[in-house]
Amino acid sequence: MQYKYTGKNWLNGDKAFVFSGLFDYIQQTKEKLSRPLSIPEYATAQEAERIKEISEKTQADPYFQREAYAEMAKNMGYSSLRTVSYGEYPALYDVCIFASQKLIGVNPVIYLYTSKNPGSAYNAAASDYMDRVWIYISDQLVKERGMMKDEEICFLVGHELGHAQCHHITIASSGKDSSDDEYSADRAGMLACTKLIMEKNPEMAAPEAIKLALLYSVSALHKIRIGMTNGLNNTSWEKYSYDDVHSLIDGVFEGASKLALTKTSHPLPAHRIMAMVHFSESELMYRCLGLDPEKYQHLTTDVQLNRSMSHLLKDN
Amino acid sequence: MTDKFEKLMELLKALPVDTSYEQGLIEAAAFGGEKELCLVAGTQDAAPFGLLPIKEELFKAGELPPFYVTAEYGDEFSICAANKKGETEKYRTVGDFRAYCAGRFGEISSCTVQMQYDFLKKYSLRFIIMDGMSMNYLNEVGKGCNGCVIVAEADAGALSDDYMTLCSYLSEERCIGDKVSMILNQRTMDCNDDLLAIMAASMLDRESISAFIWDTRGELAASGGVLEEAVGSIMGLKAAATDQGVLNKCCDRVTEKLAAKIKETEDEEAGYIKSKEAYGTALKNFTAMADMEKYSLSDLLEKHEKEAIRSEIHGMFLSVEAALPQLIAEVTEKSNNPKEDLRQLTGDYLSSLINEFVEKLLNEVAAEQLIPRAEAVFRDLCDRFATVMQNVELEPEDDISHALAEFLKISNINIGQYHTQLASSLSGIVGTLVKWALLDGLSELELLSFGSINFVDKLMDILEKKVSDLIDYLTPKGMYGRSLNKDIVKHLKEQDELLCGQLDENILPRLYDYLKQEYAKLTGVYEKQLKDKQEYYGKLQQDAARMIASLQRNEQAVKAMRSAA
Repeated sequence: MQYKYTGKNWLNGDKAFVFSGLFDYIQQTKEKLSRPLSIPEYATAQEAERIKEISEKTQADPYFQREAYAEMAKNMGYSSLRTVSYGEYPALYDVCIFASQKLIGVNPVIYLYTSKNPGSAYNAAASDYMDRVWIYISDQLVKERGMMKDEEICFLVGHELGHAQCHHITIASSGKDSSDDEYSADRAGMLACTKLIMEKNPEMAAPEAIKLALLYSVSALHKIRIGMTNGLNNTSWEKYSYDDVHSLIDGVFEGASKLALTKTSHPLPAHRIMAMVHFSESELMYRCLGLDPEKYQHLTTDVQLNRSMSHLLKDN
Repeated sequence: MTDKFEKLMELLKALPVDTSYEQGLIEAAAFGGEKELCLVAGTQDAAPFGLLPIKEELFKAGELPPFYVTAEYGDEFSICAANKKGETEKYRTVGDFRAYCAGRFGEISSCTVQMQYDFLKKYSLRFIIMDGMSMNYLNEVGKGCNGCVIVAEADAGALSDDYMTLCSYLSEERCIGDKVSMILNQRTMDCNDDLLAIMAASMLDRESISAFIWDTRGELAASGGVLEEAVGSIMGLKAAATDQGVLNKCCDRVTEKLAAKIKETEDEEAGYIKSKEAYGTALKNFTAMADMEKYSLSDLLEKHEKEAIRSEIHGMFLSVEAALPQLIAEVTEKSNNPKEDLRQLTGDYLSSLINEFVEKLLNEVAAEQLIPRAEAVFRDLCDRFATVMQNVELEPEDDISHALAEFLKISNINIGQYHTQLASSLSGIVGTLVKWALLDGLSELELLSFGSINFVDKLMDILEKKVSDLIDYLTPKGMYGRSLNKDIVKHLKEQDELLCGQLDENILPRLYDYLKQEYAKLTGVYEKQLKDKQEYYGKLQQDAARMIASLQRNEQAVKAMRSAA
């Protein structure tokens, strides 16, 4: 059974509005919800395993994902949520559309929220359900003058989209330990950031663009930490130096073996930077960018990359 | 070259007018020849070579050797021809010369006749055939000469333009030191000798000249004496201060050229100023007109059309309400787990349906009404602006294609596809605008405690909550379906009102805003074109002003050089 509506002034004749019936819609939706969950190419090996496990559950129970989404929606708790239009923050709008298109292939609905808590004031989130994507960004990141460059916002948005693309909402609702899911999300962020840099600088060689994306990705995390530490509007961003970020990256492997694994929601920043550096030098990164790794030198293989990740995840 | 000439040459070379003639004049005047040299100039018909004491004719009638012939003293007679590569060939007789060279005069760059003629010991002669020769070339070949003998046909009517030009040139510029003689070549016996002399004097515009009447009916040998006397009288004159005259003449000519160039540039500058002001006025007018027209984009739909949209939305909700029992019944009959399916996805279904309906409806409204009307506003603006352009005496742009083409450059489509592309762009954004408009409106409403984030999801969540509250899993399927239907209908009525309210408060205003944005982009491109033109003429005007100032400085420098002498 179909639903059909023929309008008087518009949507009439062969333009009449036709929609599937409720039963067909339910069947189609359940079929979509039962499909195996996609595994992004950039997902870590552990991530891929988790997604496969959860996929078995979603295939068995099509409403599993929907329940996870509904739970998330209930607990969202953002205040002063409002949509972002192009005219209001054109640069932010463009970056969000770009990152979403490049990673997921759909246009998102973009929200700004206001928070006085530094923990959420310097933050962002994303969710997806079926073919829809929502991005939530704290307005502090755009209102605090001089804080974030477009490339850094792109990393943040890409990171959150990575959570969505790796089905972390669904996975979290299953109660599975996924404290390392930040690594996959960081990879998504780096990919989005690299693609933005390449789009803006078509003449730039890929290794250079990736290196720059690594710098901006790390600096995005660094700036958020600084913002959270100093409090709202308490940082003089004009004095921010990228030399510090270079030092962070260059010195991250010193004493790395002494770093303990953390069981909190996010890995240690040093671990995350290490993971991003490894990813930036891997064949996987280049494949995810649509490039042929054979044309570049000294890249780590997938096996080597997985080994370096397993070191990061091993409890010392 | 003297210091004055060197300074003047340096100045002439730097001027932005053509001074090649004046430079040639100075070079010719400044040339310090090693021996006495006299030019003998005439047309072929005047037979200047006949003045040489040789029995055979060097050139036949009608031949125009494209090189000059120098006659100088030699131990024995010879004719030496040099080609353009500097290679020389020597002949002992005129016959040999003619036999080997007559057919290839074009290869020869110069020819020197050496003869045992005592006269030539003192003064070399350089024979120039006139016949349309340029003054610049005459300057070059005349370098270092100490005077000029003009050989003219003296018959009535035989004094051609060549002679008039040459005489004027020599008397006013080149040989202003009175070093010109004329030999009148008389063919008929009837001419008055005195009259011929007066004619020669008046042509050269001098108080005294040397005029020799040479009767060609006589022996050729006699002609040598006429030439000798003519040249001798030139060389006997005291040297006049030709340098000063040449310098003054050059400065005067260049000053005139600079004055003409200044006038020309001033006229150009005036033209640029006029164009710049015209484009400035046009830009101001266009901006004002565009701003006024923009207001007409604030409400492109007629009242009855907006009512019609609301009516369509009502119609859709009523039709969903009517169809709902059957839709639910189908699920209760066919589904394996109807209660769960209905609980989970009914809200989702309705919200997707309403979303898609509103999007399709507004896309059609945009395509049929909004876009064509917005385009009409823009085209009308451009048509009226064409009149404004004519009023300020500017050619209007070919049409608005340039502005539109620039606007659509990113889309990489041609102007023919403009309408389709604009419609497509607007269509693509309508759906998102609808959602955003609804969301914006809803964000001001009190949200349910679990924080609904989307109009469509709000409905979903409302239903889920309400249904969850009401569901009794023990209720038979049919009753369950009917309860659900009742609740949905109640909430559909609320959403119907909400959606129609958002139409005026949010959705249509956002659509109009989008159209205004596109309109602003189009008019902005057009304004940029006008501004670019204004700046272009402004730059040309500045360049012209700088050129005028520079030319005036040059003019002063040339005048100063003349005065300083």
